[in-house]
Amino acid sequence: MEGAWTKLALRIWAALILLFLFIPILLIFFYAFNTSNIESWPIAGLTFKWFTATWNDSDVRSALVLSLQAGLAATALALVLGSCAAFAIHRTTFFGRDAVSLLFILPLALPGIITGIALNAFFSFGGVTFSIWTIIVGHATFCIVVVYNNVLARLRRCHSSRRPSWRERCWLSPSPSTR
Amino acid sequence: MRPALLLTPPLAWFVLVYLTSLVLLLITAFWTIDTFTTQIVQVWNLDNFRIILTEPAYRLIIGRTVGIAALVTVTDAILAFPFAYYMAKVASRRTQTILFAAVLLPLWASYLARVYAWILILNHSGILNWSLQSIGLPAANIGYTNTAMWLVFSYIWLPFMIIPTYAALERVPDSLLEAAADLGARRWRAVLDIVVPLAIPGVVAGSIFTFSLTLGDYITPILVYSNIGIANNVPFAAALAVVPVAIMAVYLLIAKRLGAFEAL
Amino acid sequence: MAPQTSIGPGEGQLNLVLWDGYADKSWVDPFTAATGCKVSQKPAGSSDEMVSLMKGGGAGQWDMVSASGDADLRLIYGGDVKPMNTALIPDFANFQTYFKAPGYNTINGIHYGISLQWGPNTLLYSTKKFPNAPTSWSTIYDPANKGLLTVPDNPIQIADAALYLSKTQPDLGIKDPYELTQKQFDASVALLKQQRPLIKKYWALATDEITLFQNGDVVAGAAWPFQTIQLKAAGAAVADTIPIEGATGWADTWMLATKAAHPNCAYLWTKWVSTPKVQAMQALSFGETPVNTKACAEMETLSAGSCAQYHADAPGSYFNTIKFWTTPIATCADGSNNCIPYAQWQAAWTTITA
Repeated sequence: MEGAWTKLALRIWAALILLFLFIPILLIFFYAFNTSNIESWPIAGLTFKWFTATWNDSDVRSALVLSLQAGLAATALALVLGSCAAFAIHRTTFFGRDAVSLLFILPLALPGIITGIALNAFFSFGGVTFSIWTIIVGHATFCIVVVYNNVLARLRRCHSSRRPSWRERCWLSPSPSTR
Repeated sequence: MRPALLLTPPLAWFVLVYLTSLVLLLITAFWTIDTFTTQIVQVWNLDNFRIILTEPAYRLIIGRTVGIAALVTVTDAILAFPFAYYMAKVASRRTQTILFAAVLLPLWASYLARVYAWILILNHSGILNWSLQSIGLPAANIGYTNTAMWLVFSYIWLPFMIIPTYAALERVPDSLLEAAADLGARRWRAVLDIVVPLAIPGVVAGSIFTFSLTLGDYITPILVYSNIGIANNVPFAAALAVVPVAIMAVYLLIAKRLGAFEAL
Repeated sequence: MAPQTSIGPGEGQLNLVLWDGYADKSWVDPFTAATGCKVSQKPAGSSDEMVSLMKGGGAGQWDMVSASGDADLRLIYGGDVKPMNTALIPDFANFQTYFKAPGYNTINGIHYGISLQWGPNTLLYSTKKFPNAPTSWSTIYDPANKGLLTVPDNPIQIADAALYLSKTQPDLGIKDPYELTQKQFDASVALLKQQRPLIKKYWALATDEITLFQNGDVVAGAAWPFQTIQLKAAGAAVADTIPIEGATGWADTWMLATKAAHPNCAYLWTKWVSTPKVQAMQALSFGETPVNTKACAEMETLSAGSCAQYHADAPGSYFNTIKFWTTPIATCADGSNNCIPYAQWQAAWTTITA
């Protein structure tokens, strides 16, 4: 439907955006093989030594394990609680529903650092020592919102659509994921 | 009855953990610390807010933060719109899926790694200067400047703007555009008058993320590093935190009016 | 509370808050092998960060902190560190007299830690830009170097500005850069605000500054000897110097957290790093000076001439020329109460770096 020139322009734009998104990542990937640890360009040489150095560092390994554990736990919690919330909000209309919806998107809409220092104050006040559980609580709070958003958007789509190709419409809804 | 049962666990979590901690933070903003021992002194006062409102340095920081957040949001909106339009209206089904995955893929790379990539590009001996100098231009020393911040934040949050915009554009039925063409409207007119207004909720939804995320990241050093990390002044950090919360409250109100909540 | 009277068996773990480079493999590995105490480190970028981390007596997370003079009093009065028993450290007897009971870590004869090492804040510069060593701190206040300078992101920098003004503007009457009247304080802050546009970036961790010099982003800055040593080892063309106006410095103390979970490992560590050999190794590695007088000989065997270079053999009078970090409090030396306390230093610093 668009003119040929418009289509070409859009294609070029799309290509440029993709380059913009991926070049920095490829660069970091490339620097991982740098023989020197000075950050200048061009790169001094290529080597695998940093990979072995990183893997041999027990602090890095334990950090990785911690991240995996916290991530899995937070995701599990978020899946359950977020889905519950989405189903509940979608199914009913009740007094205060708007307020509850707003509450549920707050962790996403407010800067994450606010959630962080708020929970920090909360835990210090309650005498809770910081541990993997406090990490999980903090991350789960944010993740619940992500799950909630996605599930709700999906529910809205499936429900409201009268088109025959409902399966096509019900594939995963686009929504921002956690960083 | 069942919906209420479903709602209770998440609601309980949010009220008991999240809301309570936010309220606690707000309360802490009215306290101070014993400056010598950095223990919190629970004496009610408005000192923290008074300092924030009267000390020019804070107005400067807040102004700069809002400015950068707005600039990043506008930049991302401009960058995202043609891309999202291409994805939604021009690309084939298969290309759409590939592009969608491609846009989300950078988010799987570590946030810190992506920021660090820009330090590598922009620093004095990085790629940018190397490229400029090899074609005879002088080095552009934009490392650690506001320009650099703007570039990096626009880069990091771009996927968050593309996705809702794409979703909104995808929901605009092609039949509308065909009808407009039948009625004699030129292409760009149809896009401007029909597609853009329908896409606005998506763009605004995306802007909530770019604005809030930039706001948060920009204010993190002063909140955490300077006031909690260095000065251990949690009450003051709490008072400072009220500012982005207030800003976002206003932003969310406007966004709701523009229909963004349905486009999240 | 009285400190413990003997060192029991090691607990197998030791968690330290310290300056980057204070627990180098070369002396940590032998320590772990001998005592079984595995060392975990948390490098901090500033004294303020150390105070913050040790809040709540280390909160059961940290056992010791290598605090500098400007953090010590805050840690002591905040109840975050507890007295240590110097009798358990055999090398304590060999310490320089000045460092046995300095005012920043010993109160009324009670030792709240064991002195470790000390060093100056130097002027680090690129030898390409400055083939001859700069003679004055004016280098970092000079508009000709705009966008090419770096200084620590630390409120205690105000003292460096005050020190500079004490020589360049003698009518301000600054005697002690940590005891400033409102007028002296305002002048120092004003100087730093003038410096702000010249700064490329304020460095938080030593490695930040190293990166800035390596990339060529800066050509001069305030630093510690540690950065010079690291940069030279990486082949960078830099050198450092102490300009004619003199220098501020820092003297570090290993302090024991009130809620330390591994006090025996902590004492074993303190014993270890107080021995002449380790003192010499740390001095040469970081670029600082040992408090143990016996370390001088060890330093000479490791690197000839280093003892004199680092003033490890300095007489007591030398220490009076270095303005060691200390927590500014409202009470001035003459007993009056109108000196500016540290909280205002922190608040002012935010307005300087904004």
